[in-house]
Amino acid sequence: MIAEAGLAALWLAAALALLQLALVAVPTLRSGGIVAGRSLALAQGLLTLISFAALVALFVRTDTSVALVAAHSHSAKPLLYKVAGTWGNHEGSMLLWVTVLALSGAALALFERRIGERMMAASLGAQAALGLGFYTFLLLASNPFARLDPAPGEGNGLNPLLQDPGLAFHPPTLYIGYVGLSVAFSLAVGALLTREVGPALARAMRPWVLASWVFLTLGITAGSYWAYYELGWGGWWFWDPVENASLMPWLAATALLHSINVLAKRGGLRSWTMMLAVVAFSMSMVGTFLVRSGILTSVHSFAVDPTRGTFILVLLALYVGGALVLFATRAATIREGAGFQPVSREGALVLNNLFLSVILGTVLVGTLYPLMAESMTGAKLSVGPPYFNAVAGPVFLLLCLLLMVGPLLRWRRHAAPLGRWVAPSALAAVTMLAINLLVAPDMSLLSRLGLAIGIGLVPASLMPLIGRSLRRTPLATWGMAIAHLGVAVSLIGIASDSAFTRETLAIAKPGDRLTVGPWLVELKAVNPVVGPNWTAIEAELRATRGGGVKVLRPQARTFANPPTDTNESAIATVWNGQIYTVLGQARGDGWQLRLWWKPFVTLIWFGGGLMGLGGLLSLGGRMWRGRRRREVEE
Amino acid sequence: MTSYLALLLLVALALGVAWLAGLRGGQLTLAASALLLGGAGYALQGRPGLDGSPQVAAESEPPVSLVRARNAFLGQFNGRSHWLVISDSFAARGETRDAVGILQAATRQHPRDYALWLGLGNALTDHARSLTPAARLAFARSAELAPTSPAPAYFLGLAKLRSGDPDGALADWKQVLAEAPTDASWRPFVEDGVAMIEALPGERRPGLGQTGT
Repeated sequence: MIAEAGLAALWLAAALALLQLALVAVPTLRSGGIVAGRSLALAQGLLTLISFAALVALFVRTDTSVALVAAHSHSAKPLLYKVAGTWGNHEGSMLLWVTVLALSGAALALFERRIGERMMAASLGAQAALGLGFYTFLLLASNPFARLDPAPGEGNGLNPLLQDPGLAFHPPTLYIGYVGLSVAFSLAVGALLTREVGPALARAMRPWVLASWVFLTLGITAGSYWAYYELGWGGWWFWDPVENASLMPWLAATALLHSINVLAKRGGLRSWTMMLAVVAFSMSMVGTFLVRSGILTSVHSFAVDPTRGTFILVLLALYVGGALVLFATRAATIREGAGFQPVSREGALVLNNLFLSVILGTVLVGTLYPLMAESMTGAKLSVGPPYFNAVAGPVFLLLCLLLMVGPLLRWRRHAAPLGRWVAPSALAAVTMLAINLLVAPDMSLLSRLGLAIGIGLVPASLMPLIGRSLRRTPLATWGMAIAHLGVAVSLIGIASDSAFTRETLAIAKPGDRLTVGPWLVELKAVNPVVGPNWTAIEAELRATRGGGVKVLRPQARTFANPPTDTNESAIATVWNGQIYTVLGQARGDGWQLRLWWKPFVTLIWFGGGLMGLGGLLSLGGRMWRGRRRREVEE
Repeated sequence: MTSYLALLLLVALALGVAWLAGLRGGQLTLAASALLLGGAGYALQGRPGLDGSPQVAAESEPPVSLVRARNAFLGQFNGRSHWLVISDSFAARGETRDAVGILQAATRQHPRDYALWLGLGNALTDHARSLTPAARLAFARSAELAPTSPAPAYFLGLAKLRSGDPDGALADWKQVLAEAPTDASWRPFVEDGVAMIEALPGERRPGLGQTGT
């Protein structure tokens, strides 16, 4: 009954989405007003949530009469992975996607009161249109509740690479980010339809974009760390097409966030903001297409089914194409806001958006080009780190240089000298440059500049707080400073990892000693060990550097359902980096060991966390101020 | 029938939420119509008559009693038997991970005891329900420590049988018999095992799940 209830709830939600769209699109029904739109959005959200909860319950029970559960679960799996396995497959993750979409619409209906009724109705209609397409895709091409008769006696199990606590949090966090951008998309479509593009729209859109951006930031940061420790390659970003598919909406959302601030504060960048709101969610949909169309093979990719890919491509064309046509036809009617000088906060934010757009374009081209080349010529091409690092890297460094100055500029026109504000950052950057030229003459240019600019960006990001009463400084300003500090910290981590990582690959027997960087690592023993649904061969390594010992236990695991071998790296974190170890295969009397010393690599994710924290502070600050303003008005 | 009841309840819930959110009159009627349309879609696609089939992790019995086999090769009362007995008791309750944990502790305390490594290999095979590299390592350690004992080779063969490799098990056991003294007390045990495998039907079934003798 649970499976049937889940399927029924999905059909009912789809029907309500159809009605919600009709109420906006059909002139004779438009007199329904905003109450109808809000009510239907709430009911839709609840029904979709019930459908998703039903699927989770089916996975927890390992109900093999449901094809999805039979294909992707097993009765012997630990409970956490039974639950997380719900979204470790195409249909389940698509249902999660649609659930977040429906709940976003419900949240918009429930909480948004700052925009006019006409725009709200149009925005809810746009949200319903998005939902309807994806409900149709789920019900007709990716039914998560498809049944099996007779039911098999046991499930096939979950990919062991995905049996990790990171899986429990990474996809839902990312999806809230990806799909949360649908609200910005819908608000933009609503504003274009009703020709109400202005500061009120920006103030309404900002918290939704901020919240999505925070989740995307944290989801990408967590995903990067998960890949780092789970895949055992010692890398933290592989420019995998699916990783790029999460980065592109983040880049667009970052630009959108900055653009919204200009629109809210000064009424400027209206066309930029509308375009970015459409692009940000469009990138989410491009990502969905890449992962689910079968054109990619990746630990992230799901469906290998061209029919589904075609379906999503049609949805993509409808939504993105429709929104862009609407933008093109209405752009001329968008009234521009107040003007500004090139040397101004607005000018810096325009440049910021340009840099982010260039990086976005670089990543988009690099991701899609091999796929297009293969489809047209049959030739298999690979575009990897050499392209992305060489093209996007320098632009990112320019963006960070801009970050040192931009937040200090005044709105509309900045004429005052900046020297004393910029001097500490410039001094820090030049000092670091000189040090690394002396200490590491062989360092790559990108790493060298990255370190210098990162160090310079640390004081620069905190400059907006200098000279203020810190207790009276708005939370949004704190948020901005901390988020920019996060960028600096991540940049330092990235440059350090690139410049200073050391690696040792050897075959060792118990008692052998190896060196990696400043560490002496002894292989003490190799023993069999066990986990809830796996067995493993585990090495005991003892690493020393001066005083103190770090014990590391990398494993080579074997899972039974499905039969899979994986490597579990062992990582020891110290104040200035991480020792990363991987156990390979037995070779004669010994064992393959791969060791890395990665100085300051943790700063990459610490910086990501700071960016997320900054976003949260900004969001909290703005919501609190908005609430206080409404209380005063009342 | 219960699935259609669930459908009705969901329709009522959706209408209730819409009503609470202020939907009234003709709009509410429209919503009800839309929900009926959705219900029709479900009726076309759903399978309300199909029951669910929740699964519970099944326990497996090895094809040969591990305790009897171990006593045949190693004797029943000896210095390490208490570890093995405790491990057996956990395994009998389905707590195979704890059964392995007991013997891991045992091998740390007595790293040169081949019987404990043997027991660990069996416990790992029991937990994974197949012969894994970790179990092979344990059996290999046992064999290194007792190169003349037939027990490691026998139990490795038994683990192969439990993993669905009766041919591998047969080869190992025939080797054990070829090297065994004719008056060895455990010899009948191995002969029975060989006979059991040779009696399997032409399409050999995996050893897991079969009741022990």
